[in-house]
Amino acid sequence: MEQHSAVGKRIPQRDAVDKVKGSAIFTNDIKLKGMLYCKILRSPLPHSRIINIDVSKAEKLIGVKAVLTYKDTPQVKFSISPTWADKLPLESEKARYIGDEIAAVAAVDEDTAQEALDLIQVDFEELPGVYDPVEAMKPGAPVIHDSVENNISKAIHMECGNIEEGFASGDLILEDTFSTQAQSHCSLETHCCVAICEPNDEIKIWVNTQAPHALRQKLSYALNIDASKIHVITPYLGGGFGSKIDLEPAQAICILLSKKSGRPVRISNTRKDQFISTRIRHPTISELKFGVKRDGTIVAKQARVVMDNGAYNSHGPAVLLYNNVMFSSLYRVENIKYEGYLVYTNKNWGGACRGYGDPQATFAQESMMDMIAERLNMDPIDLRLKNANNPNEITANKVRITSCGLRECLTQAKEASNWAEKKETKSKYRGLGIASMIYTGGGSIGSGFNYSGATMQINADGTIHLSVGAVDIGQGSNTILTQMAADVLAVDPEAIRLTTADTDTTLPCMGTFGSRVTFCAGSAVFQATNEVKNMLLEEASEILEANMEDLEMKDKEIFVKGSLGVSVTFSELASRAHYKRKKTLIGHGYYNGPEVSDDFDPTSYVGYPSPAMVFATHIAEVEIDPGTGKVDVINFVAAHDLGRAINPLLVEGQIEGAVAQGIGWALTEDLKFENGKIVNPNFHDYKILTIKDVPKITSILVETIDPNGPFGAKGIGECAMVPTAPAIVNAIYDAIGVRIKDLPATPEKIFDGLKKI
Amino acid sequence: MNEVDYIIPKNLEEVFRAVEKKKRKIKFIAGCTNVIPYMREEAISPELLIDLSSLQNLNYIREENGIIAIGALTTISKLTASEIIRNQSPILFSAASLLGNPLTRNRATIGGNLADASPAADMVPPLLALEAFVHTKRGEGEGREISLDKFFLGPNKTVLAEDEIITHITFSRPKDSARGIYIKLGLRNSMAISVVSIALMIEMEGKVCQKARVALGAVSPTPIRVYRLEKNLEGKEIDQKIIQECSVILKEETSPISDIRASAEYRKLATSVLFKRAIQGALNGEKT
Repeated sequence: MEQHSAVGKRIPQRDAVDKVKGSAIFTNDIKLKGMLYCKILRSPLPHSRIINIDVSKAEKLIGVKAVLTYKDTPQVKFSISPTWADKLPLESEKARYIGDEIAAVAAVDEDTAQEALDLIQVDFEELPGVYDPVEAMKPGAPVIHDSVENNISKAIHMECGNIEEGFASGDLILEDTFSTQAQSHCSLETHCCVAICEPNDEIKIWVNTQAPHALRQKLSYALNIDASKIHVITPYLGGGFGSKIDLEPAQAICILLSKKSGRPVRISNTRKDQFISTRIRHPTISELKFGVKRDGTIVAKQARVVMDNGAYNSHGPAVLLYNNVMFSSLYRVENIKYEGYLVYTNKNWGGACRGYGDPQATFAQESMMDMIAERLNMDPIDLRLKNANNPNEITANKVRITSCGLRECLTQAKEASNWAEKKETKSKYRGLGIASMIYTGGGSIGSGFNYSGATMQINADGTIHLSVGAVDIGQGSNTILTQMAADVLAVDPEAIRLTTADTDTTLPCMGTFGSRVTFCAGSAVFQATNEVKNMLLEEASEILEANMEDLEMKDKEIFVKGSLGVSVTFSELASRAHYKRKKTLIGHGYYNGPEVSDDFDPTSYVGYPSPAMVFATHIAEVEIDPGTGKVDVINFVAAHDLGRAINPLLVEGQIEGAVAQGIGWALTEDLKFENGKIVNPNFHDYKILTIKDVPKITSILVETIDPNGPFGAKGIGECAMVPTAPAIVNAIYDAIGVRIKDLPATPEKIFDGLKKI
Repeated sequence: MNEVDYIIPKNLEEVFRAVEKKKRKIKFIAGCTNVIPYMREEAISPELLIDLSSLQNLNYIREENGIIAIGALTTISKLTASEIIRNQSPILFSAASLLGNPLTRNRATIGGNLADASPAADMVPPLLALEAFVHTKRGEGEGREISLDKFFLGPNKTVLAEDEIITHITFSRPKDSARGIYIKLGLRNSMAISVVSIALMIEMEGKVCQKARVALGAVSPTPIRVYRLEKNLEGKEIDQKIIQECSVILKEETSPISDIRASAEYRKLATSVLFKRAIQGALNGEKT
């Protein structure tokens, strides 16, 4: 076993004390001299034509310094990429959902800005709206974006093997439909930014984004401003879950208001703003058809998915793609057909949300697996083991798997949950449910890039300085990246200074999403630190007159193995390099992988180049109140193949948080709409779990040591909520025989199901 | 949120002087756990907030001559810490323990919970089952004493005049032989608004029910006593047939709405389940 000085240690987050004391500075804490406050006028109608916007009264209100409409903007549509661009920072012709940005005000305080909004007169011509994606696809449905036929923003057709022959070779065919609801990310810190447009047109923006470098690029595009004029800074960030990857209209608006007023401008969402104007998890309807042999071998599987995009694209096209890839890659199935439609509706727009289309696919697939197991009278774990993915395989849809611990996840979760014994001695209203999953564990280069950069420098005064573009959004990347660097240099992680998430001072990083930071930024840190380590060893080998292989590092000193007392410090080495050899000790690391093979054809939707895939199995134990249908999750086991745990303490934090979010999606969280309007935009009525609702969660870390990951590590952030909901729904079925196919599994649905038995 | 004036009087005289002087839309406030969210939502837009928090002589829990009196400004967490409440009215104790979360319990007051008049107000069903009285004051005159079951007019509506405040709540100490049960059905285990709640008190003599009081929350425009059901229990030996009859009565006597938390149908059925559990629990001698 390799010895590690820092990797694998349970170290609390390096910023935990600052955060607990309240001294950590978040974007929401930034106040500048002369700063104005921005409020946005949003469409009150789900679908309308904008006839006229009159801001003259608002402009005259004392305290108002600038009012903005589309006329003050370059009117460039944006999205995750120009291909999918469909959103303006301020809409000009149409408003497509309740909440669409129409105008904005910068004033001396928020109340004045709010008052000014009431003085803006907008003439709308109301248009018929469409809120159900299935209705929206029908001919004659209201057209939401002029050029988009049947409101289908993107369609995916993927087929591999021979689906007809596949079904024909099975002994049993099962078909069913599963649907999932909208979920709100509910990060603790609401979206906020503070922008200054300097007289020389240089823009500085403090913003709680998960992707500062990508944001600079998107701002440059949407505002038609040279990227070299934009400086994006991300202070401490209070949670993202995917909601803070996009360019937000508010960010562009703040910059333009600052330009117009000549003063710094801040916008900070209220919790209600957060619910009604930021991205949501895409609702889906998945029709599944599975063919199986009597021995449990899945011979063919097919999905037809309708994904509710809401009014604009955001990440929608990529979320649909992930839905396809994850549905198709889980289990070894030769014949697969996937048909997916991303459909516009006049509702809040979907976006990236922890799991990125995979929770929806996994809910459907893993519910179906349970139904198959029952029909075959097979243990659900055995059915999954029968079809489980293996290491070093390429799936039928050409997803390359390197390390794979799915079998270990299944068997270890089985043991930890006491599955066999509990199944034997099952009591009346208790049940056990299982679900597994596959996800990317290092982002993907499917969109053309997957970059993360890092630099590591050692200064003449002995300071060790790591700089990464990646943002710690609360998950703990600052801690684990310094642990990795510390391990390479055999120093205490606390000894490493760290700069992050600033487009002026750090190398570009694509951002914190896709469970990619540990893998991608970690690889960059590993490379940068090793480069510096070699520089140090080269210097030291000259000074100590010893071969590099004979040298050893400890506590910022380099020794000759076996000759105690013969040593040189980092500081001495750096001084010598700086002053004698006029050379700085800086190492660079850059990850942008994996290599894409020539046969990858994005148009067929076969294949998806991710550097690593991760696997997991969740087992839920529930107790149902048969009188009310209430579900009590009493035990939870989550086994995760994460390559290697760089910091088991933080990994467990990620798993526990994700499971809580997953249980919420399974049971209580439901963003409800009535005619396009969200009717529960608050924490009273949109119910995330409280500490009293979260069960004991046992995390099992399956360390498969990935061949390409830094120290063998893969990602964990998103995937930990992917199989939670189906595990719970399967447990509910095990307990009382009610199969919930439409999330969330509310007491009322279970109660209704019980009546029908 | 609109602009609003705010005053914090030191005693009742100052309260009523403030009320007299200002000819504006006033709102009395204490814990503000509902008023501030309402104002942010612009569901209400008062022009003057009169904060009663300084009237500390209205913050007490006392027992005298078999009467328990609770000052209107008593916080919910103070109720949960009170030996009197815990021992003498466990159903009230239990309802207090399940209201909101520790933060709301530390701020919210029992007077505020009544004055807010939510159909789902947590403290009301147990107080109805305890046959509580609301004592109020308005200006210099004598106060009123209002039976709690005559206090509510509809959702967020009470018999209180705009310038009338609750001073305290009283109820008789239940007999030692009384048994009470409180059950709240919410969609999560903390910070949950009741989907249905029930408070039940019975006094038994042998196998015969001498007295029954049953109150429900969240199934009608106001929390209600179910008199017909009480009558159907009193003077009888309670068996499965009686309980079944009571279920039918409950369906007829409740008029729940469908809302974001549950459908009317589900509420009716759940009410019946909760009642069966409450009566069974009481008969088995459980205390909440």
